[in-house]
Amino acid sequence: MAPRAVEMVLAQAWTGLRRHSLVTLGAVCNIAVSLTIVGGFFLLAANLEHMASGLAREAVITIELAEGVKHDELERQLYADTRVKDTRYVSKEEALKEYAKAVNLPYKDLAGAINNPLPDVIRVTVTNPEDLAAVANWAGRLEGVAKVRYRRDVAEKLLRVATGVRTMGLLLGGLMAVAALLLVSTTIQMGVHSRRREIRIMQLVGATNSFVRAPFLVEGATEGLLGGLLAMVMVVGGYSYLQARIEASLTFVDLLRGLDFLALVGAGIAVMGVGLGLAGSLIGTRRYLRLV
Amino acid sequence: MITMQAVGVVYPDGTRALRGVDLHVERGEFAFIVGASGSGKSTLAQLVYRELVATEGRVIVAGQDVAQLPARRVPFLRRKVGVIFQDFRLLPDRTVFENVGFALDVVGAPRAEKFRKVPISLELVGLGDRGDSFPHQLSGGEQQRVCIARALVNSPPILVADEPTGNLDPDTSWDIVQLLAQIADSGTTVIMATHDKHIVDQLRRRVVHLVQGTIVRDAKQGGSYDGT
Ligand SMILES: Nc1ncnc2c1ncn2[C@@H]1O[C@H](COP(=O)(O)OP(=O)(O)OP(=O)(O)O)[C@@H](O)[C@H]1O
Ligand SMILES: [Mg+2]
Repeated sequence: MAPRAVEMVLAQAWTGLRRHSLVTLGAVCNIAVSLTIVGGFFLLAANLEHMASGLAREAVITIELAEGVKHDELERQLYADTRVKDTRYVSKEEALKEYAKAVNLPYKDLAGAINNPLPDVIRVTVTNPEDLAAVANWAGRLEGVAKVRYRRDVAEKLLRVATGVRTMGLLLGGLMAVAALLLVSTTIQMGVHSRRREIRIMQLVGATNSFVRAPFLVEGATEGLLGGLLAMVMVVGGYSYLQARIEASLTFVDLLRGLDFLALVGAGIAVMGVGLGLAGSLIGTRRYLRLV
Repeated sequence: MITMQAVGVVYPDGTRALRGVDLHVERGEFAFIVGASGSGKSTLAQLVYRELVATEGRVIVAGQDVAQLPARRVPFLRRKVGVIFQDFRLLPDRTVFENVGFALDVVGAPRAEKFRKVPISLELVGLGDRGDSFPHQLSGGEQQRVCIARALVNSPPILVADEPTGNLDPDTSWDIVQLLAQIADSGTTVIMATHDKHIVDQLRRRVVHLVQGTIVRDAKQGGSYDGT
């Protein structure tokens, strides 16, 4: 397009954005909310998956001892197995101390406030993570063992939750995105309607369809970009804030982080916003403009 | 410049508007299309600026068979055919200058071209000093002149006028028709649909008479409205 044509298109798009500014604002907010939902659920699911994979990589089995059982004999038995790399006994007091540290509370307060519910445990490190299930199974049948936990079943549960969260985010966000799409196409249709005399004349004096349509596409894309940027600020800002808060108090939680990662999520949200806006204006102009 | 061969138009609802129309209009010729209301004048005019495509026969405009023109080329045909109407269709929120310049804006012409061509066009229709007025500040005849200036600013070889004097008093109508005739004399092909007997009889140019979609008379020169 000639520079003069670009100037014309931009001027018309700008007038269009201001003409129905309240409806435009509604569309922008709608896009922002739907993309915030999609982005929020995505980050939640991604973090759950991240934690799950971290847990699955640790080849540690936790064996809870029955009440009053001595740990030495059991530890010796376990260590005798060639698949076991190391064992470590953790008394219920030590376990509570570890927990107090993880959640960032003074041990004394915690111990005083509750009757220690934790059992004595032996932590068994397995040489090869593949053997986790087999070793756990075998250990569960030994005398004096109350319960066997290992991280992989926790990881699997987390993964299932993550899948659920992701699906729900897509469903909710998708629904909101459809609403946003309809709202954008409505604002565009209103614009086409209030400019119909002008458009008719443009078509009669030989304006191309793309020239007639371009201002509406720019208008829709701008609505989408604004909505996307709003959502980006909310998702990235909200996430950074929560991340800082969580990591300060719950040191055992390992969250996805890094500028690259957040920049990618933010850019993705902005691109989706522009896509939504463009799609909405394509629908809006198709239904209304009689494209000869 | 305009050729129609055995042209027929049947609207989607089944109404037949034209049947077996053969017409040839030379470059620089001025032709009236006359006939009673509903005889098919507007339909014929719309074939020329390809608002309509004939359902039968061939329509050739400026060397182009319009039926074979792909949709994306239609705007380029429209740039060769200026159109004016009974209801002037000016943009009320723009000045006369901007209304005429609009036809250049939307085809992406540079600003300099607009400032060069619009005054020439306004001068041609006798409104050289009204560029800064708004349409509501002009009389009907002046508004129609602005429309003619807008239709001509792209220098199209063809001008189609569908009842351009329908809303004007007899004296003003006569001025407008004389202007159109003068435009034809300078080389632009003009076809004008009208049922204004008075101006047709006064101008004595070619008259194509339609009755129920069929040409019943084509008086090449010095024609009158009813053949007398
Ligand atoms: N869009 C349409 N759909 C169906 N029929 C139409 C359409 N436009 C016109 N017609 C019919 O086609 C015939 C010719 O109409 P047209 O408008 O060409 O007549 P006209 O000579 O211009 O009349 P007028 O002098 O009243 O403007 C009429 O019978 C009219 O009812
Ligand atoms: Mg008519």
